[in-house]
Amino acid sequence: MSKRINGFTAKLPLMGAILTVMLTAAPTAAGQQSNFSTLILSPDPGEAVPQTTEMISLSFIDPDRRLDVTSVRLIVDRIDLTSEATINGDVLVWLPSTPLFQGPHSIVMTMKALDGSSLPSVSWSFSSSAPPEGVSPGAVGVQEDRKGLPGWALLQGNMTVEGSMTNIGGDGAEFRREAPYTGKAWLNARGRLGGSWRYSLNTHFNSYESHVRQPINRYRFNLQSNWMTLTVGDVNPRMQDLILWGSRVRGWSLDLRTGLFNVMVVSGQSRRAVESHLYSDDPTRVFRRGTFARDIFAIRPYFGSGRGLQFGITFMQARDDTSSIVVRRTQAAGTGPTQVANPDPKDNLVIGLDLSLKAFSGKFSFNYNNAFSLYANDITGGALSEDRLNELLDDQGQDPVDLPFDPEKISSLFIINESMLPLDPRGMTNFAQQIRSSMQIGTHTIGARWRSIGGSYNTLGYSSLQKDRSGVRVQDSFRILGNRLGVTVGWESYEDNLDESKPATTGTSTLTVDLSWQSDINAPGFAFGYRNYGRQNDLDDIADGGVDEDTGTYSAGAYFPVRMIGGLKSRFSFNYTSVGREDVINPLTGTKNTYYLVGLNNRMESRPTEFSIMYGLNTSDLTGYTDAVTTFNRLMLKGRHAINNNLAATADIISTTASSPEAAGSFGLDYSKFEVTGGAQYYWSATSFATLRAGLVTYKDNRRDDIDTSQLVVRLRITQAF
Amino acid sequence: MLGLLLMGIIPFEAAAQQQNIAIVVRLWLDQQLAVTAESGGVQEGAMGDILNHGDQLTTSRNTRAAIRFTDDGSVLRMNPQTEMSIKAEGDRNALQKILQIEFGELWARINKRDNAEYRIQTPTAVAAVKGTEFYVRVAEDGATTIITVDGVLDFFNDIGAVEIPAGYTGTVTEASAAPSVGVTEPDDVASFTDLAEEEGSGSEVEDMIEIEIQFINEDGNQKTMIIRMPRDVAQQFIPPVQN
Repeated sequence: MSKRINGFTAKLPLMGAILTVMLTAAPTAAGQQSNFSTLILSPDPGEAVPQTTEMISLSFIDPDRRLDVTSVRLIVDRIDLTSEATINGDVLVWLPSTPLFQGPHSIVMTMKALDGSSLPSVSWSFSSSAPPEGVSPGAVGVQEDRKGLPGWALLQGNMTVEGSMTNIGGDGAEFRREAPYTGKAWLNARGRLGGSWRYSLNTHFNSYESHVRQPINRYRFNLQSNWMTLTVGDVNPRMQDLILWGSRVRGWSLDLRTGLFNVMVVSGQSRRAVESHLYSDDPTRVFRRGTFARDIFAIRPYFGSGRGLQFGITFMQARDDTSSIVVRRTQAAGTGPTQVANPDPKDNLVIGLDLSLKAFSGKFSFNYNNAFSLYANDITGGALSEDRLNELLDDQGQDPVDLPFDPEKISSLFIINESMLPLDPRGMTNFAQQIRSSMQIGTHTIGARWRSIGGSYNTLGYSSLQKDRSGVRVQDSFRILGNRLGVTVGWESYEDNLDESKPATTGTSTLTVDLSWQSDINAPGFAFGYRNYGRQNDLDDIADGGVDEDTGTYSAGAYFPVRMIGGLKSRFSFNYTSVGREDVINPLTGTKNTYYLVGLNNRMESRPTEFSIMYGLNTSDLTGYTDAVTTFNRLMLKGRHAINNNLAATADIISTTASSPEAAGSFGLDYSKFEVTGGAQYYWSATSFATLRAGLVTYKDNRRDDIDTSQLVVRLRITQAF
Repeated sequence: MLGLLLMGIIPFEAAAQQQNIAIVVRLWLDQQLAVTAESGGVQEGAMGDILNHGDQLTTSRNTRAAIRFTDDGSVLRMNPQTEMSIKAEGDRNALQKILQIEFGELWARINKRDNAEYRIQTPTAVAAVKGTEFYVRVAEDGATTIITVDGVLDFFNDIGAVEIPAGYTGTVTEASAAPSVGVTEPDDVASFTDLAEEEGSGSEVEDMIEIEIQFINEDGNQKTMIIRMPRDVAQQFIPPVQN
C-alpha cells in the first residue's frame, strides 16, 4: 500500500486503447516526521483507474494532533483543488465532478503543523484508463496540455461527426428505400468556473433538420452551482407529475434553491411554427399539415429541500401563437367541403399542488399531486363575452355562471370560448389527482400508486398522460432464500368513463409475477415471468364498442457458464416466451406467438477475441384462421478481435427467413434476408478514434418476383476529445 | 489452544468506538451499496463515503464494493450479495477491528500494524487474522470457508480451533461443528470470482455495456433511453442491429 515505487513507464493494452502508466515521482506516501504520517487510500500509486471510479483520498495519521487542517493543499495536475476537497476527521476526499482526461495525473499534497512548521508533503501519480467499449464518447477526456491552465479554463469534451451512405438496387428497390442516411455531429463540453460553479454545453446537429418539421437539432447550455441551475436552449423541465413532465421546451429554465424557499421557472417554445402546404397540382388535398408555434411558461414555488417535507404550487400556461403561421384551406372540389390545413390552435392553463414527505432515512416516501386544467381547443376566434358564454350554457341545459371578471379582459391569461373542454368546469371533470407511496421493509420494496385523471383534464406540458382513467397499481419486490431468489409481484387495475359519458365502463387489470434465481455470480441463473392482461366492458359487439380481451404471457430463461479449453470463457443461454391473446368479441384477431432463443457467447480470458452464436425461432399464429402460422428463423454470428492496442476488427453475419403455408394467403410471409457487415475501430491517439462499418444486405421476397434487392451501407464515425 | 478459545469468547474490553475508520474507495457494476448505521438509519453508499463503527454494508445482487481502512490502508473487497458490519474500538494507533460477515464473499489484504487486531466473525466461527491476504465465504446457513493466500489465520469456535496457513482452506459447517482445514484446491480460489484482481483492471466495468436508444416522439422531441447491462446478457437477449 505505502511501498516506495521507482518511476517507470509502461504500456498496457486495454480494449484496443493505449494506456500509459507513468509514475513521475517516487511516492512518498509514508513520509513521516515525528509521529505524523500520511497514508494514501485512493488511488494507489501507479494504479490505472477507470474514469468512472476516480477518487483521491488520503488519511492523516496524526496521534499528536499536530496538523493544521486549514493548511492542507491538494494539487492535481498542477491545479489547486483544495476548495473542492472535503476533510472529514482524519480523511481527505476529492471526487472529480467530471471524469479526468485519459493518461497520467500527478497529485501533490502539502500541509503544515499548527506551530507553522512544515510537515512532509506527499506526491504520487496514477493513470485514468481509456473508456471501455460501448461507453459514449462523452467519457473521453481532455488533453494533457491543459495542465497548468487557470481553473475557469478547465474544459473537457468531445466532438463526433458521422457520415453514412447507402445504395440500393435490384428489382423492387423503390419499395425498399429506408429512412435517409443522414449526417450527424455532436459537440459536448463541460468545465468548472471555481467553487461549486459548473457549466456544460451539449449540441447535436443532424442533416435531417428541416424548417418543415419539429426540431431535431439540439442545443443546451447549462450553468449550475449548489444553489441554482440555469439552462438555456432545449430544456426538459420536470415540475410536477401531472402538469409538466419532460416535454422539450426551447427557451430557458431556472431553478433557485435556498433550502426553505425555492422556485423553478421555465419559458420557451415547445413547438415551432411549421407552415402547412397544399398539393400544387391539386389544391383540394393537404400535402403537409402545419403547426402553430406553442409558447409555454411555468413557475413552481416550492418550500423545503425535499429531504423531508416539501410543498409546491405549479402554474403553467401553454398557448399556440395564432399569428405564427398562415391558416390555409383546401379549395372546395365539387360538393366537397373546404378543409383547414392546420390543427386548431390551443390554449391551456393548469394549476396544481404537490406535497411530498420522506422519512426513516428515505425508506418511506409519500407524494400527493393534484391539478386543475382549463383547455380551449380552438382559439382562432378569441374570447367570448360572458353573455355569449351563458347563452351557450343555456343551450346545453346548464346553469349560467356569474363570472367576477370579463372573459375578454383576461384573454391574455386564458381564452374562454365555446371550444373549452369542458365548457362548464364546475363538474370537475378537468381535475387530476395522484397519490404515490413507497417503503422499504426488510428486503421488501413496496410501491403503490392511485391515480385519477378526469376525462376533460388536459395539459400540453405532458401530452402523453392518459386521461379518463382511474385506478391503482401495487408492486412488491423482495429477495428470499439468502438473496438467491428475487421475486416481483405486481397488480394494477384501471377504469375509464369517470364522467359516465360513455355507453359502458372499460376496466383493465394486469397481474405480473417475475422470479429470478442465482446462487452466486458464477452459477447458472434462471428466470421465470408471467403476465396476464385483461380488458372488458361487457359489450357484446364491436360496433357497440366491445373490447373484451385476455392476453397471457409466459417466459422462462436460463443461462449456464461453461468453462472451455484454450482460455475460452463461455456462457450458454436459452430463452422461451409465449404470448397468447384471446379476443372474446372478435376471435379472428386472436394470436399466439412463441419465441425461442439459444445462444453461446465466448470470450478469451485475455479478451482480445470474443464471438457469439445465436439462433432464434419465432412462430406467429393467427389463431382465428387455419394454416396461418408464420415461422421466422434467425441465425446470428458476431465477432470482435483486437488486432493490436490501436485496432480492432468486427464482423457480423445475420440470416433471417420467414415462411407461411400457401393457405395463409395474404396474411402469409415468405422471404429471406441476409446481412453481412464488417468494421474496424482505430485509435490513433488516446483521445481520437474512428469507427468504420460497411455491409451488404440482400432481401428476396419469394412470393413476389419483383422484390429482390441488394443494399450497400457504409458508415464512418470520427471522435476527437479535447 | 485455550488462549484461542478465550479470544473467541471474551469480548474486546470496553473502549472508545471509532469514527472515520474506513472509506468506500470503489463501487463496480450497479454501484448499489446500502450502509446501515448502528442507529438504524440506512443510506445509499457512494464512493468517498466515510464509514464509522457499527456500520453495516450490504451489496446488491450486482454490485461489488471495496473499502479501505483509514488507519492502516487495509483493503476489503465485497462480492455481490454480501452483508458485513465493521466495528472498531480502541486507540487509533492500535485499533481492534471486527468484521462481522452475515453472508456473502469478500477478499481482504490486511496491513496489520503493531498492537492492532483484526477478527473475522461469522455465524459459525471466528478467525483471528495474523495473515495478510485471504478470502472468506459465508453461506446462507452460516457455513464458513476461509482460504489463506498469505500469512496465517487462527480459525475457531466453541467446539474447536485450527490454524489456516497460506495455501490451506478452513471450513466450518455449523456452530456446533468443529472447524477443519485442508489443502486449498484450485477450484476453491477460482470460485471467488477474481476478487483479488488489480483494481485498475476493472474487468466488471468493461463487461458492462450501455445501449442508448434515441427516438423521436410525435411531438418531435428526441428522447434518449440508456439501458446498462452486462455485455454477456445483452448479447444473449438482444439481436445485433444493422447500423
